[in-house]
Amino acid sequence: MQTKNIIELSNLTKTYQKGSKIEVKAVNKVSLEVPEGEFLTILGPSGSGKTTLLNLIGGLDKPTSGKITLDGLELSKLNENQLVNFRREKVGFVFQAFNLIPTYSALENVEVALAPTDMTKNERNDRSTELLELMGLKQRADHLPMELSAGEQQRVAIARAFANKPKILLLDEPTGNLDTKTGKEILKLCHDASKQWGKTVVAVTHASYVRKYTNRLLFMRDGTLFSQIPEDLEDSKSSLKREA
Amino acid sequence: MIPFAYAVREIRKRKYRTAVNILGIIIAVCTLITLVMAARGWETCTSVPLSSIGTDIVFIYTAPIEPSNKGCYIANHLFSYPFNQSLLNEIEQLPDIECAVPVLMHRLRAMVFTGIDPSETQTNAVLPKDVVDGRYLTPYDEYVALVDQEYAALNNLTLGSTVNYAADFEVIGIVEVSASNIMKSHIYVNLPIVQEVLPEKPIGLVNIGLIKTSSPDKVKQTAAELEEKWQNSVTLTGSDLAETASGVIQINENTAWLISITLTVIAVLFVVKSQLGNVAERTREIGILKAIGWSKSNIVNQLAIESTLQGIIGGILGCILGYILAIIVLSTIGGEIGGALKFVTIDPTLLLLAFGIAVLSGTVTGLISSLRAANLVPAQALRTV
Repeated sequence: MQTKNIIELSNLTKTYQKGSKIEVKAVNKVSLEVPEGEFLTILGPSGSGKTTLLNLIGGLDKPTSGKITLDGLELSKLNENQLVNFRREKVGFVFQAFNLIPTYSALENVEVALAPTDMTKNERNDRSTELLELMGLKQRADHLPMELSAGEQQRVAIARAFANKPKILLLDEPTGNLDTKTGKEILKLCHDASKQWGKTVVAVTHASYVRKYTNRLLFMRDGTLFSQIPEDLEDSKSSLKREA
Repeated sequence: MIPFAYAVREIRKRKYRTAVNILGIIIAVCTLITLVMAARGWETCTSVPLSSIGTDIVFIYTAPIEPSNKGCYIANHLFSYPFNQSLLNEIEQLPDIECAVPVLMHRLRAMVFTGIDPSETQTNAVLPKDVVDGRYLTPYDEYVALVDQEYAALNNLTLGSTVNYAADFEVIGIVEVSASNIMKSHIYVNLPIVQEVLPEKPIGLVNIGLIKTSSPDKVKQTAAELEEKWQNSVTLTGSDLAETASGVIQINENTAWLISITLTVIAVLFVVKSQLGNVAERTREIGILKAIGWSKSNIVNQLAIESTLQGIIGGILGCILGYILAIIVLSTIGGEIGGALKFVTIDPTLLLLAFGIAVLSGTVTGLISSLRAANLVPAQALRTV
């Protein structure tokens, strides 16, 4: 049985104006199909357009041209409220910089994602506690982000991303601020959780050890996606070989 | 209720920023209440000493017209010399003068004995409304007197008792005269009798003219005209009395409003700036909230509620502090005329207005800053350092 595509990008372009005259194409005519349940990783150097692509998929930014369809919803056709619902229900984000709210405890940082839902305070609390427990952070629930290690902070961010049971998990350099050991643990956690709950994962990273968890690996350079590693991404190529 | 709960949480957690915003609102509200209440107290206390006896101007001579005339201390250390009662008839003929009432006040050590014309029942040193027991004088009364309530209590005087000041008088009425009344005496008797019994025999003479003008805005001009027309005469208006009673700079209610509105605007702008800074600092967090599914209205509501709550807290504290400061200021004004404080009551309209300004400035500030932030594209907000 053929699995349906949960993500479909068609000729997606995002252009930024740099100064008054220079135009930068962060994403250049990208077309991509991601089947449901796949763990897709996009490798590429800094400035290649990976984060922009992820922001476009997650509805955090608007494309200059092209079409994004996620779980049957064409993003350009959604109004503001539908887009809010989409971000809340369909996607979960994990950022390189964790993006936790510094004045909230670990538990509150997970709970905040559930705040705009119909859940009661107790239900939100139970769900957040359960997720933190899964991330091995039950004992750290009342700690502020600054009181947690980088790995713990990223695990709180993963718990928050899973809070609303999204179909798609978007990982933006999830290991970028972590040491290799912790980075691997985090990727394993994301992999296992998404496998357990049947999530589709799109991860952008420069961490080559991500290959171990990936169903498909793509490469990005200058806003363009490649299925084969480009010649000038030799560093990535050699490190991938080393990992393998 | 989600934004409310989160707004309360933010207020609790961002203590410094909250305190700065609340302080700005307190300053605005407190200034408004203190200045307006102080100005009102001032204006009231300047008008009460005379308005309580239905008078706008007290007309006296502070220098003797004739060397043989003996003067008398009246209130505020003013020495008043006798003048011919008929002069008041002349004054009454002037435009803008409603009436000019004769009074002869005599002081012997601590005792004050006053002669009045009881046919004047609207403007006089003591008025029928002041009688708390017995009756008011009539023009036909002779050796009868009205006695001040405190004096009567001190000397066990009741209706029918006899009181002596140059002659014996039967007490026919007990009067309660406000402490702010500069004509406050111990004994009030018909004017012709006073002129007859005093050792100086000042027949046809009085030492005070109580003048009522046709309208309050004519008071200053009339007083100046009287002094010009009758050389060596002195006129005292309500504000003159208050100025002699206190060294505080006079400020009227309109000026107070102008100053306080200006200061309020400055304070509100300060709060706006602080709140904009607060939201700017939180732009990234707003981006995070949008990324995890918070709507624009969730964010705007939270920030507006946060700011409104600060306005409410600042408004309540500002009202309390403003009222306390106003009491302190008012208690320093008009000491010799009994203090301005007792003429000022809590004005619910003023408090509500000040509180309303606080809440409104909080809400508007919150809305302006949050709308700006909530309109950012999440990816753009997340790029903010």
